[in-house]
Amino acid sequence: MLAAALGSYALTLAAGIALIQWLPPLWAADHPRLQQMTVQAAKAFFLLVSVSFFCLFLSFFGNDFSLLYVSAHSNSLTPWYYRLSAVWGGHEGSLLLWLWLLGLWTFSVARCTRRLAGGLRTRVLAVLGYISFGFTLFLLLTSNPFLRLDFAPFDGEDLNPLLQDPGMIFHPPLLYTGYVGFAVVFAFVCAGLWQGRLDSLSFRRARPWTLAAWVALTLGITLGSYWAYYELGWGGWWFWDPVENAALMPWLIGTALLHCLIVAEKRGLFRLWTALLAILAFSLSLVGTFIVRSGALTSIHAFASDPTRGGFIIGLLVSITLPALLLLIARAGVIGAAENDYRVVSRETGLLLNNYFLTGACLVVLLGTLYPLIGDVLGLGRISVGAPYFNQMTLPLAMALLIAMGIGPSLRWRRDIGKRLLPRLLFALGCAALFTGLIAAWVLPSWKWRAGIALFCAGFALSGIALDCAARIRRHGLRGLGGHGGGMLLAHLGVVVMTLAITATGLYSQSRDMVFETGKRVTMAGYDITLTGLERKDGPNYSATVGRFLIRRQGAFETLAVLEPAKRRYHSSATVISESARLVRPGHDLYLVMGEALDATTWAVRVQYKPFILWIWLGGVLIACGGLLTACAQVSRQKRGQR
Amino acid sequence: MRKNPTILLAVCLFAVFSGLLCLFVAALGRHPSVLDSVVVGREITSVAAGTPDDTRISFILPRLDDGRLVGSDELPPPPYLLNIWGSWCDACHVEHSYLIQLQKRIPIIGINWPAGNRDERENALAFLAAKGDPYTLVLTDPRARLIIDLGVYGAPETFLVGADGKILIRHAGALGPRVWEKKFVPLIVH
Repeated sequence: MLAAALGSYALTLAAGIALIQWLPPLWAADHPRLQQMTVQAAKAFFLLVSVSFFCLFLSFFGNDFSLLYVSAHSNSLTPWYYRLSAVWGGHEGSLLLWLWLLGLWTFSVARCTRRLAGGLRTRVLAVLGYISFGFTLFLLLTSNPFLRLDFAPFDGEDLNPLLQDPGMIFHPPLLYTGYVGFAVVFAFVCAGLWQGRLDSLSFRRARPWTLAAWVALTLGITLGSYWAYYELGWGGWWFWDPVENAALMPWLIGTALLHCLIVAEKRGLFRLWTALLAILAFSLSLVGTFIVRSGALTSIHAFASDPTRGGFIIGLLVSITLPALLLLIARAGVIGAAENDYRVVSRETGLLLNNYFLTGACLVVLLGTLYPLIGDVLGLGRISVGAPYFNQMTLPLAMALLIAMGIGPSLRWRRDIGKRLLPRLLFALGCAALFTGLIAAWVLPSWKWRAGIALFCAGFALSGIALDCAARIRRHGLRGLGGHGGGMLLAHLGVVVMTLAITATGLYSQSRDMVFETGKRVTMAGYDITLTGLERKDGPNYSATVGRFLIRRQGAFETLAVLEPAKRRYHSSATVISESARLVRPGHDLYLVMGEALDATTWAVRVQYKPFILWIWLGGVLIACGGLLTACAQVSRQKRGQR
Repeated sequence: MRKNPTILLAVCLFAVFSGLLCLFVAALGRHPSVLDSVVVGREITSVAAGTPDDTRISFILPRLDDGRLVGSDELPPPPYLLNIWGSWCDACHVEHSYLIQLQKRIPIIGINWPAGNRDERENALAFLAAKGDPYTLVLTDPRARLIIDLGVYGAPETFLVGADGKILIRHAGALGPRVWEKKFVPLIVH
């Protein structure tokens, strides 16, 4: 009981502290005393939000159903770890998580930028404080998680059963870390524009932060995709749902931003691009917040729709993005861009193309996501834009990106010579053709043109990576594969792995709805599947019917695995959920979901065969690892540089 | 030369940004999960008045109990409710007890939808006999003609026909006191 009062109090106090963090620096950001105050305010803000966050944890842990938010998202039968993750199971709490992570980033920036020039550091913290202030107000005025009920119910409604999964413990925090992390590079760019000097140093300092946010976002999206795959029971890994798109768009822009930052720092070019991308990445996070929380679009992730919240988020979007854009336009002149001295054949061109492709892809996704909304508003009727649009529009861009990835990294800065490139290009093309041929002959069950194109592009990118790898080893020995270059190669490798896996899963999956009688054998995709029995198993807050399926290789005798997909019925909400069961092999997944009971011993079951699907997420993890490696290399280099 | 790109950039940025904002503001308060209905505003007329089109709906359907044909002009005087139901539909069982209460306030005409179930007639009659009959009249629509004309997605669905014979509202899903008070009562009063 006390916890909630304390949490609410701490949050109100935090709003005041955030005001101190951003308001005074507007007039005197270069005053040393004030700079110190801003730093301390940033730390105090984090402390207060942490207290508030912790209090919400306590309220959930102690089943304080006098709180509206707790009673709506938790139940005394829910296991304690899901009660704790229920903290971010609804709008209010997830927004508090958002705010806490913003506080954490701000705190980290305050701690780790001691060597930054005082003026810039203060301005960065002030911009972050401004954002924190807006979101604290949003939380307090429209979505306070500490609101009391007049009469406390005896027990709460449960957390949505789909969310009662280990994925819920990790997915939202990781994803939000990424979303919110783009606030740091946004703050760096705004601070640079504000002080009238956006130089290489600020870009270099912003790079590890951007990378860290991007890595978290990558992991968050990958984990979310894996979670959707095993929990929703469709066997799909990406649905082009508005909320997935809301996470994908900042990722695409963030990826472009990462590449652009390199040019901005090393060559002093593309600075306007970089600044714009930084502003866009964070603004798209805000747009994503609007899409998820205003209820304007339907989605499996959507929170209860509430126009006042939507209105407030629009207010935030205006008051955060608009000043940044104004600043960018007003100060476009001060961005100390170097002379455009690069030729057509150069790494700069490669990276510029990369920018175009990635922002293009983002635009395609944005248009597809908002089109139903546009149709609705203009009275064109209810339109839904589905996977065919997105697949058709993004695939060519993805292929173009793969080709660019194959050549780009081996290009030289400023200008490259066609004569030097030609043999490499021919070699890569040859390798790609060979790769396509080999895979088509040995791995693919049947030839499809789309698979061929994807294989060729992936093969091209792969040989590009191999060439680059070889060149680095020749130049620096094995050390050439550590740090920067290694990270880049690893991330690119991850993209290739992911592309191949997506191609295999997208084009060669099999799915069948079959009737299983106990004791009868069914054969699919080289496996014999036998339902040996049905069993009733009860969990803490649900009862379940579990089917036991024996999996054998076709015609073989020994059992490979026993799969136990289940149908769960949750007591509190009477919701029925299918738990899938999977046989995971490196080459494919066998995916079983219980359908409906036809009679006591017969069930309809959907069996799916998904080739190489595991590698989609392993690819995502590789990409994140690459980013992490690069971030570590950057941090250690900056530390060495300072000493 | 140096100045132009900046201005261009500014114009583009603001066009896109303000466009997005207008869209978002306009989108506030919309509920995309609410279903539109094509038949709201259409009038229920007799078959003799002409074929169904954008302004009217008419039908002749057999009664569920004795199979006598009833035309859309032989219905009780509006206002009344058209309730699409089937004994196979769980939600219809849920709303049934509320319909029993509701029959005192407004006549309810049941449209039984067999939806391909062969024994629906027997099941439906047994269901009404066991749980009570809230309907002034129950028709059955085995070929789903009226069901298609009304644009029914699934059972149960309820249409309110106003005093002028026009369909005022369509509600998809089970009817309950909250929906009735919020969506139907204001329309009947006016």
